[in-house]
Amino acid sequence: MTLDITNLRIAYPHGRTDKPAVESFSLSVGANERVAIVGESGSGKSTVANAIMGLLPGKANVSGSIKLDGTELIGLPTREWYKVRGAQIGYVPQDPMLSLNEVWTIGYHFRETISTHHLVSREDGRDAWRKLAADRLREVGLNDAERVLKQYPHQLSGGMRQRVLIALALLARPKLIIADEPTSALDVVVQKQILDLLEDLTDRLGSSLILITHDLGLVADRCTRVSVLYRGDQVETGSIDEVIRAPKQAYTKHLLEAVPKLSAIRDRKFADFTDAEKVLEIRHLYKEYPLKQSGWFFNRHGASILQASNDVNLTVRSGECRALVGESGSGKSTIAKIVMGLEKPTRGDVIIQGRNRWDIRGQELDEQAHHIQIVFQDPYASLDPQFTVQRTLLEPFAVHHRQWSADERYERILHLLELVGLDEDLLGRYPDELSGGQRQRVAIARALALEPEILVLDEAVSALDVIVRAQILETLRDLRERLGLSMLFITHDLAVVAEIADSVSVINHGRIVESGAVSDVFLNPQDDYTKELLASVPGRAAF
Amino acid sequence: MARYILSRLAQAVVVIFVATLLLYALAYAMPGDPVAALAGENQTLDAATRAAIAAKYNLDKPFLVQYALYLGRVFHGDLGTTFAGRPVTEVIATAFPVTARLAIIAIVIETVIGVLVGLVAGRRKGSGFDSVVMTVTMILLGIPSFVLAFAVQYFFGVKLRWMKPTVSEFATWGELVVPALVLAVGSIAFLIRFTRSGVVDALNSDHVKAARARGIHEWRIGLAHVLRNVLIPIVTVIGTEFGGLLGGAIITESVFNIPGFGQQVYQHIIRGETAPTVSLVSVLVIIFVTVNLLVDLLYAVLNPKVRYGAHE
Repeated sequence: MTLDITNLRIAYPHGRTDKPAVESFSLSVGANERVAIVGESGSGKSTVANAIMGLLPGKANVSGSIKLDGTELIGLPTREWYKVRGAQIGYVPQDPMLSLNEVWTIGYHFRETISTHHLVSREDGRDAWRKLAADRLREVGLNDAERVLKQYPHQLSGGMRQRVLIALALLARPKLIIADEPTSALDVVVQKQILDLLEDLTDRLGSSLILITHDLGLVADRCTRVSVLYRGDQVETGSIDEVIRAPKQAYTKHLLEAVPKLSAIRDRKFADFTDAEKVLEIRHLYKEYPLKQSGWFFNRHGASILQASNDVNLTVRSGECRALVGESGSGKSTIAKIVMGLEKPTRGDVIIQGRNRWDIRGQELDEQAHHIQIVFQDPYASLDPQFTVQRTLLEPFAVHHRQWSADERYERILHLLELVGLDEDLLGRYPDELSGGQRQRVAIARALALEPEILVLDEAVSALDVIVRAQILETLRDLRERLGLSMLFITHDLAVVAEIADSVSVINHGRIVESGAVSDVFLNPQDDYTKELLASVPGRAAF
Repeated sequence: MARYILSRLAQAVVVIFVATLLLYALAYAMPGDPVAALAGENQTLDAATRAAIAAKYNLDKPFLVQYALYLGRVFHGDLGTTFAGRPVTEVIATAFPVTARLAIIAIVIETVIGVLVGLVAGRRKGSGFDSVVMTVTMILLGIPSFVLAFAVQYFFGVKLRWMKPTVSEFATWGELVVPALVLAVGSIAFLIRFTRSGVVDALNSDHVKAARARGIHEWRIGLAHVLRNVLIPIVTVIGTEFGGLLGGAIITESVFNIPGFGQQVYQHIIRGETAPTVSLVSVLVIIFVTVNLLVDLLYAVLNPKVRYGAHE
């Protein structure tokens, strides 16, 4: 199999700018080769993938050439595409939660694909498809294949669904697999398993793999060659060793520097906080959720219990950045909600500035807002789309500093903008007129409006592209220095922890399994789960 | 699944009870003297006769007692009598089949046109067909149904003489097609737009992209991955719109002089016959609740997340 892309140009007639989505893109992929296309969102990397599969919207103007084993794919008639998609090119999508049709069983997905590509013949019998599907599910590590075939997508976890999607992509044994950010919606440990599986299967079947991602760390130890895209332009292309060791272009260097690395702990200086005052203390915290069960008229509560927090102890000292690390479902966001007073613990104490959060009532609750504030993961969801930046930033003062004059308030928000590195002329904009990074800066500025001593960051950089993430981390470091902020930094990403945190607590199934200084825990992990998390960080070998 | 059905049934029974109680309370709170209304205009009654009539119809008892006695009679199959002396059960028996015909035609037209046109418009988003559909449905949504009913009656019935302006006392299937169309117009326009936007969303969804990338044929995507998914919310909308259809039937039946349920309700309301009105409207409530019960069950059949419970 060879894929030859030469001078690919993709433009949309009424795009925001006259600049084409992709320009002068060339790439060739040989048999059994793994190639990465790397870029930030908006770089055009997914557009290239869609062009290879003929899935661009009809209005796109495409020129240049995409040849698969000598056949020109650009301008291929619809009828011919059915013989390419799924048969010669397999596709592993980004979000396994959305990429299976939830009204059909997993079995239906297989049956449909098997009959489309005539993978079993009539003579094999009526249930031949089932046998083939079960075999392929076992191939991707779903050993309970017969059961999975009868299940609906919502009954499977994200990792299992991505395995199903990989099995579907490989069903007709295509010679080329395109995986578009196949793991960005998954947890670290699952991420590694899925990438290992993709690597292993394509190797065994002799298929080539195009891995599309924003994270150079992810592809560093897996691909042979890489193509770097920036705003539709191919900035650099070459073997992965060359590009990582000796990047020629400034953008590539920039991208490489931005990748958070575990090795950062070796170059960092750690301050000692052992004698600093405790600003936040969580003591023997338990949170149980009664699971609902449907009853005759109302759902019955308490039939069974989900233990979201199980004897959690955690301390943040003045000026310290404490990381709380765990996968989704580990209970880390439950702790954020309890600390913020958005949920009540079943048992246990949350002590902020020497007082128990749950002993404070009435007027005094307002004062809590001056002690502790939160920044959420998705700034698009946490900012009101109907509010301009100015209105968002002014809102806290309408509640807490009513005696302030309009001038005083405006002066204060100018200061906030300066703190988070935003321009004054953004004040009139709405959230959807801002970039992802700008939005998160606005969310941070809002959290700082009341000058809290503690900032809770709940996966606050997880939804951001590598470069933007690095910039926001820089801003957070700067804020710590200037304002002496203490932070509870909640994340699933250990490399980010290595870059910013002083101490770390690892949480698994609602229980803190390991806790200590970042350098101690990362260099000498004691708990098996911590070891597994550390082993799953992408790009360990390369950086 | 059995549990789901039973719990929905139990809920439906409660809703019907509460609805009849509210209807009875509304009728009770209506201004006017039921005894005087019963006696007719220009009649003055002496106190003894008044008391006798009030006692006969339990009008001298507290509201909740009246309601309980009413329910007791209902359980024995006695829905009361009209001022004309006709048992309400008989009124229902003659009027119901007519309205049932009207509603069935309206629902069928609504579903077929709504889903088909919506599907095609959604698939060809931005095309000329789509623009025409969007404009026409917008206009139709803006026309009140009684205006449309009178307009259709005047142009097609009186001016062009393509149809009889009113319906015969038998109200046959054929005669009811035009009134049913008029009745369903608002729902059709709404359903077209609803289906269209559902189809547009589904076509842009990740699972459709994944299916296309697997080489699944476009017609199959249209049926198995777009229409099949959009059907789930469509079924709910049809159930909700059914309530509007029942309300609209009161107007449509009056305009086209259809001897159906809506017309009976209308006439009993303007004559101030409270007990028969409550009984008739209660029947409408029961029909509406039953239809929505069926919709809920159909919803579960269509949506595996309901059938198997979303584990979260």
